[in-house]
Amino acid sequence: MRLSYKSFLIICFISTCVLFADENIRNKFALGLSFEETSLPSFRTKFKIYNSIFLEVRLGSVFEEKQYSNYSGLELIGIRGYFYILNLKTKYLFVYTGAEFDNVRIFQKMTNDAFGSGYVFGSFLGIEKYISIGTSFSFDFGPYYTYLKHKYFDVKEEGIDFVFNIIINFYIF
Amino acid sequence: MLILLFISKTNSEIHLGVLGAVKKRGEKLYNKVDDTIIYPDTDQPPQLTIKWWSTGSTIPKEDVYLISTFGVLKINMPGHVDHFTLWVASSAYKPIYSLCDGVVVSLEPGYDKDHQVIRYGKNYAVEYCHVVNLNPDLYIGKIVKKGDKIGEICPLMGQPGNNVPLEGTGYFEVRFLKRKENGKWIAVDLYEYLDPVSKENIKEIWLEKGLSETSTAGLRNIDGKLYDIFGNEITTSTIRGAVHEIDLPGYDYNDLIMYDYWRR
Repeated sequence: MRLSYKSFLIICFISTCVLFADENIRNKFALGLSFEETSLPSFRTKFKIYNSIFLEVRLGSVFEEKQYSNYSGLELIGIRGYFYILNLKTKYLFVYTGAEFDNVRIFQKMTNDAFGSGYVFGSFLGIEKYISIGTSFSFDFGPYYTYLKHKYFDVKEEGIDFVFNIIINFYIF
Repeated sequence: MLILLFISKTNSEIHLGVLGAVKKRGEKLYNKVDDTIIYPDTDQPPQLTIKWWSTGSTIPKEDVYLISTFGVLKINMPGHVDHFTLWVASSAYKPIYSLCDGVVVSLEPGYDKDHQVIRYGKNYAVEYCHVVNLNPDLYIGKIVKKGDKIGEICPLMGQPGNNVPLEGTGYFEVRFLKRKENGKWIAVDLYEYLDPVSKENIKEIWLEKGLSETSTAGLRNIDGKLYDIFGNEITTSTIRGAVHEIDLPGYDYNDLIMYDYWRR
């Protein structure tokens, strides 16, 4: 898993990192990784849909053995909408805002079925800084509301957390 | 400042990435379930009752061929998973009753993967294995009372112990589980927790059919003696082995305390 993750990074970097050979930065389609406090990053695909509006699909999972607990991890699939509100092209810096919606399934050991599911809804404000014509870093921060419900029991968990996202984007086009 | 004030007043946290935030919430949900379905609301052990011939069971004493002791070596007996149960050989399809009150946390009947677990309070649970014709009224989260029917004794499959009749014979196992302070569920000898009548009943069987010199029940080693898994000899005076609970690496019963193990 570690090898494929590194390979992905190298391929993306080589294919996108041509250091400002062209003044026209790429911004139409990107593959991305977001850094997570959990073991693996989550994968993203971002594409431009209209002028300053971008859409991103993301996929992430966390599975880890925990002693004396049957809780095993979660899968998350979501969508992010970006609206670029400020464009400082000369500094290769953009300011954006947007919203995110994720669908979540949570699992326990020994069963393949999810024991719970729910969603996450969040909004954020951030900046994107290009380091080459095809590579950029995004930093954003915002409140995220999480709602989870057990599959069989009337037990819920919900609340607002604040999430800081660091994303590396590899723009292909 | 406002964000920090909000966080201090609520159960909110700051995370790097959404996965971390959701993971924390997922763990909280799991733990909430763990704390929700507890019955009765106690951390003390139950007093267990086995409905034998003198306590209202339909199993006559002569139909009980053998009851193993906790931690005994299984010589010439079926079942090799572990030895930390009360193993009972009797007539097949006789009823099995709940040893104590509790809440059903796992239901999966069958021969190979069968775990009917009824949790008592916060720290104890009884697992019934090799149960057939499960009581259809049972479901995950159902509160049961001592003496409620769990199911029936599974017919014996394969070679029984020495001189245990094959025709019509069945067996089941009862494992008593205790949760330690660190959250680990371990198997303990349920004999300690039995009411006096149930204790006497089991003792009778042990002395008559398990421990007597003439016993042909199949528990004895090739030297004719009876040992627990650590090599301590079991005699008519000690009745049981020296092992009364098992807390070894690899013997972790947390997986049994699973609320939705049963696939609906």
